[in-house]
Amino acid sequence: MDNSNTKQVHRKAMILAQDAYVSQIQGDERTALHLYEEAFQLEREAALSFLADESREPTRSVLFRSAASLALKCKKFREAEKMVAFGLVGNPPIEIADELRDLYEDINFFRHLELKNTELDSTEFLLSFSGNEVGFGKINSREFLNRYEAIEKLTYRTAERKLKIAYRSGPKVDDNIKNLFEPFFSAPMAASFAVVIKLGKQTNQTEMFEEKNIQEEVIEEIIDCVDLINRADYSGLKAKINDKNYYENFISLTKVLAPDGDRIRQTGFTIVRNGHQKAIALQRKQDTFNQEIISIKADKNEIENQQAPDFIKITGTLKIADAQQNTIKILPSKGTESFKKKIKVSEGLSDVVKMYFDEIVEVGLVKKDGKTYELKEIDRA
Amino acid sequence: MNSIKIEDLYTQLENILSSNFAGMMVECCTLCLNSQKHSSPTDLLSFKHEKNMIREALSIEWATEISSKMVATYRDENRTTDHAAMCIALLLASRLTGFDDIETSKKGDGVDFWLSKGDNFDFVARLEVSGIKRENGSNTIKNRLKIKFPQTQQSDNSNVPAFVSIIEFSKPEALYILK
Repeated sequence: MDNSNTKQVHRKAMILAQDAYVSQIQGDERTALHLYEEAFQLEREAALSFLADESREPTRSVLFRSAASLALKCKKFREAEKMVAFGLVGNPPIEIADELRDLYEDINFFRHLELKNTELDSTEFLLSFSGNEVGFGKINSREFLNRYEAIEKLTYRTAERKLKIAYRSGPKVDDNIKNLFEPFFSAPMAASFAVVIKLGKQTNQTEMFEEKNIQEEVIEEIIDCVDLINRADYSGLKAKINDKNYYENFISLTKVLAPDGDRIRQTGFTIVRNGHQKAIALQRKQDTFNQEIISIKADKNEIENQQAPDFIKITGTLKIADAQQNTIKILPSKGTESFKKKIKVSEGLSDVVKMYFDEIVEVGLVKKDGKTYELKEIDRA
Repeated sequence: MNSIKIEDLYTQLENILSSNFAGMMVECCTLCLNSQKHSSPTDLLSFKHEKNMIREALSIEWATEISSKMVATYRDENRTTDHAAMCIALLLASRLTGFDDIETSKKGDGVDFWLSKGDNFDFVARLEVSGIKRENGSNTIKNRLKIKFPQTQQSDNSNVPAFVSIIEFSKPEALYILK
């Protein structure tokens, strides 16, 4: 293939890939998959025409990286691996070589989302992680334990919501709920890093739901809602969770589960239903959640206020001010001024706030009146 | 004053952008400008920095009307701002970089832009685009540059030049910096 043909084939591939991308954003996964497949075949052809021409950098390695990304999008893991390998075999510039290596990690992660010798029953799911703080069967304990705590809270809250229990303002989970839904995790598996999580001590709690057991229902609900957040489909999420506190709580806990993009690059969930695997990879980075948490109230004026001078960010140690009134205080870090106003926490954010007690956090606040601010976002500093 | 029209994205880059993708960028751009209370035409200051900062006042115009469907579709504010920034960055690319062609490649979940020249099929310089709806707190052009520059630093090591383009929508401003 000559230069001009390769260029045309590549452009055709990219136009298909862009259409796939738009379909994906619009929630049409089926069309997206089909278009990504077509795009991959063309991009592979374009990249392979450069296989022997190792002097044409960065074009050669960018084409192989692009073909590998497309293969990954259409779940052709073996093809994706080959494309990465071809790209690395040449003389890629340092940054493209790093991107190819990152892509290889992603391919491995997606491969590990697929269950091989592990069997899952309907009350279980596989939770996997990849990233720079994840090794083969190892993970930074803080990264894991924070996310495990988020899973635990998400599970109880989702169970309570599915059972039509009003949003609980205190931390104490009812013993019956705890017995049914307490998560237990298996010994870690040497994938990227993966554990099987099982809900509840008993397995046959069918009396509350006629056809499915309730743990199965809760697991599916969690995964569906995480997937909606991953795709930024907030109208879909609102249709599922119409209570403001539960809605706010679900997004704020999913933010804790989400990758930061470096230490953790992806958080994966795999379940088996009717003999088929369903896997999703939460790739949305934590720092893209704040606007959504702020906009939960869906009040346009409030979102605009957040951009006005009334919105402030402060950093310090998080302490409880008054548990009854759900207020917190932020003790100043060394060299910063004390923030003396009252900070009110909404019910939905209280689970996440509790996870960060005594830690140094950065909080985003909106002024409510002269004396009170309302917590809008919170991150570990 | 020179003028750019947002909808020109469809025709100017019809060989490299699908009409769906170009349409999405155009709609996002219109939404971002509208959210900052701009109406067509509005002034856009562009800054190009190579050895010195070169400033040019441009006029930007658009005809796309905001629909409720658009508002419902583009609910992810960060992604909408990024697509909006891509629209302006691509329209200004040849004016501010001296390259006459653009290529795209697939990278992760998104699209990667490359600049090239003439009929050769060579990706010469990378174009990294970043959008800010409205500067506030730590979300400023200055801070965005701090984040972007370590990324492009790697390009120096590997001899892949990179342009960083940051588009801010409240002023609005377009900044192009060659690393």
